[in-house]
Amino acid sequence: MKKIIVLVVVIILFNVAGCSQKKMENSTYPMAIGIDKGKDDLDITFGFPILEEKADNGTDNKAVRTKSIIGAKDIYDAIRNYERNTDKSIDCGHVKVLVIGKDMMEEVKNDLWEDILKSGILARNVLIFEADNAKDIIECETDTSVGEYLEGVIESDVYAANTCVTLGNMFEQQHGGRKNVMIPYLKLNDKIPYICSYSVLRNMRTVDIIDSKEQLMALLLDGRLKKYSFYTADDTLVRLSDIKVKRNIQNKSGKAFEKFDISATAQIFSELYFNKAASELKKINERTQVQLRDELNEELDREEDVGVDLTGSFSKVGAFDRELWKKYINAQEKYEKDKRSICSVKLYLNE
Amino acid sequence: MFWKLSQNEKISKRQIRRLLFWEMSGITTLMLPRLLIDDSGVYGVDGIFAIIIAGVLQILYLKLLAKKSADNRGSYFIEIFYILAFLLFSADILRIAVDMINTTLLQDGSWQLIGIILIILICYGSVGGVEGRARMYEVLHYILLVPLVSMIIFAIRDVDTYMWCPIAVTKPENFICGIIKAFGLIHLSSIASIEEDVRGKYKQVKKAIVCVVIINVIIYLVLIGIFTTELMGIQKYSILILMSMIKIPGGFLKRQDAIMMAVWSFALYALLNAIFSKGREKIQNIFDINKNRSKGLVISVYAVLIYVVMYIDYKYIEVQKLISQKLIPSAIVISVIIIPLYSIWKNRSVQK
Repeated sequence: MKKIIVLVVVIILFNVAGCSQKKMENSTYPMAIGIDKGKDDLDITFGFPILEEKADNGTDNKAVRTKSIIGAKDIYDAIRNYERNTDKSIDCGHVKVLVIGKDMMEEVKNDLWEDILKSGILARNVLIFEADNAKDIIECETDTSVGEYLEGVIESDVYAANTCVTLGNMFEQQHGGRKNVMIPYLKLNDKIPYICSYSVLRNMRTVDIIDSKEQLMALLLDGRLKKYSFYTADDTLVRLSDIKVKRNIQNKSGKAFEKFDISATAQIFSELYFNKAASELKKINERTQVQLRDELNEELDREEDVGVDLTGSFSKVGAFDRELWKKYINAQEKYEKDKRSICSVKLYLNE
Repeated sequence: MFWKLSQNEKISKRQIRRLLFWEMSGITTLMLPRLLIDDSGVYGVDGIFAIIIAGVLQILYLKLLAKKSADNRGSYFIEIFYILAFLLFSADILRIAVDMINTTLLQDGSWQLIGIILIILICYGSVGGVEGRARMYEVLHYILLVPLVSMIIFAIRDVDTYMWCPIAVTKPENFICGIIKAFGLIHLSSIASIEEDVRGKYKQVKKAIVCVVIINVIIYLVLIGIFTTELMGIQKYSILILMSMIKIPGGFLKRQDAIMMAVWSFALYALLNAIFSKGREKIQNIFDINKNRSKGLVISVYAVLIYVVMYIDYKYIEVQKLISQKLIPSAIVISVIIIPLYSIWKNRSVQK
């Protein structure tokens, strides 16, 4: 009798697993989603690879298909709309990229992130990009699906890998996250997307637009880069590795004063560099050091002028000064405007 | 498999340790961060001090319990109180388990069905008795512990230690509230296994509590370092979100969060089983039920009752607040203060 009961329970368990309802061939798997501001609602574009073509001919045919839903209230509504008008259901579990239209980002649709993340439609590590028109990016002509392509662009970045903005970061921003985020801004060049700049968001508002050099310098100061390279005044390539950043925030008359001490191993790539005397090498190294220090201080001055901090200083102030933390805990914008910074650089030549 | 085991209701010291560890670690790692930050207003890493103090208080409570008489029973009032308390605990933990599975693994699934399957499994575990369950936990201990510890180690890379600061900025009233709530949860999670006689197993229980406090402190520090205090206050199950975010070197495992879900599902199941079994035993003791057929009836009725309370608890947010924020804390207060006082009074009157 007991064995029969166990058998019945096991059979019931197999039937309630829920796997039989959804078959792979009846689902489509978007790799990227674009969201633009429509006339009244949202225009949402799905970008998916055609799985059937891949399977049928066995070749590496990765044609990309897109589908736009005009006038959706949110992603849920767009999915429902798509499923109602086609013979397939959408599984967003493979989405790698979310491209947001410029108008949409400026609207500061706070609820959008909350809806997306809490509904569990998209994973927390989906990458966020911004563009003039998200639909154009999703419909671009890349070899692979645009989702895979953009993910590759971010992951193959030798210097700033894993420094991208994700859906989770946007959620943090929305709920008082203390770090500003730098969202890659996409444009098309010969129908292929590329990152032309970065939008800096503080409390869900765009506060600055920076280029990739400024983004890299901000990451360098924040200690998030493992490698960094730059050209000296005489066009010599210098590559830094083993980068260490020591920072200290002091309270000077009730305002934050931050000091960065950067040390790294420098490798100089120049023909002139070979067969040089030790004293000359030392001079080259000192020149390089001064140049990098000046460039980083220029960047810090620029941030002070704009009143934006890109180095995550606000999130770290509590570790250095309790008075400053208490004063500015609910005033990130004021903190970033009041803050003053300086940087020093020490390079060790790689022999 | 449970029925094959001998049923002498005796378990080894190691089994007690492992049993308690899994019963306590599941619910505490899942609920403590939000309970401290959102419900109590504890800021940042101050929460770890609240956890440590709560753990020490629970050990002291057990020490007191170990010294007094083994026989707490004798009053129908106390027995009925415990049955009601266990019923509420079981229903609320079942609701958390159902919600966890429904929001992470089976988003389109029916929560009612998940609840039914879980309650059937709990009945099945309860029939096996504590000996059967203890053997299961003993066998599964390292199978679950190794992935859990590995994932925490992988997560440490992303911890921003600056987020731990500043320290000691929580208002005293919030901190005390945090200690009480942390103690309440630790006490609640261990109540079924240590409610009566602690004398013989005090050392093992103490070791299990120390391990649970250590793992909670580590997880709390990792969570604060990754999510910040602000985000942890609003996230329902921060530890599960963390498990889905961790990148394993080599990238050979893409959905480790689903595997890690098993750890918490199992831990909650262990706790549910313990509380369910204790409640059932108490009903059997009160009504003096010894026949197997009657025992089956008790299990069925008790399971249906728990499911009904869970159903109401899940569906109506007011009931959820009433159970989680009012009834359960009150039950803990009664269990910690009134019952030991009653027990002391009873001992004195017997001595006289």
